Amino acid sequence: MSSNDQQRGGVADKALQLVMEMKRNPDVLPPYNADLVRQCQKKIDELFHKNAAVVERMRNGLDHDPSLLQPRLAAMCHIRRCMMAYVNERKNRIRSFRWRYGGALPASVRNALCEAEIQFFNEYSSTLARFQSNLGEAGVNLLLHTAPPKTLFVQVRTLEDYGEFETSDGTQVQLTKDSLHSLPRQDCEMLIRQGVLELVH
Amino acid sequence: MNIDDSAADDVDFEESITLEEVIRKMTMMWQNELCAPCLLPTQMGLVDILLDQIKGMEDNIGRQADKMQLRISLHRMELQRISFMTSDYMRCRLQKIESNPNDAIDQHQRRTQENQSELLSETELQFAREYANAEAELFEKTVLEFMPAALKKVSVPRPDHQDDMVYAKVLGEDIGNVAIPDWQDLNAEMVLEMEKSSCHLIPFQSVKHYVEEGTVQLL
Repeated sequence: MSSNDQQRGGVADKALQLVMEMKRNPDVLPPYNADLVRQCQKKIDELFHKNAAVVERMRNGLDHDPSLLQPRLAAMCHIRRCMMAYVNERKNRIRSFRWRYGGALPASVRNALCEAEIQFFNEYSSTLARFQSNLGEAGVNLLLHTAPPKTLFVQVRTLEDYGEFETSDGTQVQLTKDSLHSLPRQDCEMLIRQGVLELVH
Repeated sequence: MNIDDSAADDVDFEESITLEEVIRKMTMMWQNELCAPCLLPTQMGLVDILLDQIKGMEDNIGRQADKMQLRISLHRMELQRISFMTSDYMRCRLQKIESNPNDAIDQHQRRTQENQSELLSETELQFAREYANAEAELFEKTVLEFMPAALKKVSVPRPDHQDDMVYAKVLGEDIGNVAIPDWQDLNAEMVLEMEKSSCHLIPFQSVKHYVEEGTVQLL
């Protein structure tokens, strides 16, 4: 009997694996595990059909055992909950990407997303863009001004050859690799975010 | 042209709101929004006024010949501070909307029906709707589409902020008393007197109404 139990395992094992995958990778978004998701789906289908069979026997007045109907339903709900939690956690991380990278995802991230997630990212981006453009006269970029300003100018080092750059003062600056500059804070914010400049302390 | 007394009063009132007042009020609202566990009524009106002012001042500075004057630097710092405050306020609200867009929309509609102050601005409402749709589509295409009929729908979570505590300071005079749950007897309530300038660590629910009114400030 013990070997049988071990072989059977838990009903929601795959679902648990989905959730654990996200927990084990708090920093990196693992690729969308379509395979595992499909297995969970199949499990729910399996349970549903077992229940349907019992209900069928019940309707036809045949002998049936209703004791597993509720537990199966509970298991189905639990598996679904794990799947939703998986998609939800990924969704939250995808949203944070929009705030980190702006509207364009780096290829490494893009490859980890499934079709539906890419579409969600795009829709989220455009919804946010619409919101931003409706603020005030000319719209507001909410990626700017992310920290209370301490100084007007910041010291930055250029990380790559960017070329000519005009500050809001009107002065032209040549951004070549490893050059140091003192630039107005608000002009740098986007470039720092994109990795062209870095703050020097 | 006949201007009755109340209209004249209104005009006077509008003319005498200074930029300082607006900034002061915005600071209060921003602080409240950051500390509150749920969405507070929208202050987009204030934000719009400030965005306008910022644009005007930036244009002004742009026209100045010598940009290195101390005066100009001070103005620019002030503009950056105001911009930070308005942007942070909006980001905070967006985050709260995104955490539960359908609940926000429902609450907004309920408040409109009950003639209370608006929860969301026009643009925020549109954002909430579009975001809720995008989210629903994502869940639909990955999970819900493949579920048997009984499991196709997921109910909207209604978070309960019963136990959230906040630091609050009483600003107004004569607010009266506030009911807080008595933790020794779960069915009873204790009553707390709200004296002006007193600070409390108190359940958010008890002061929610006053925060919205503006007579209590969250810290």
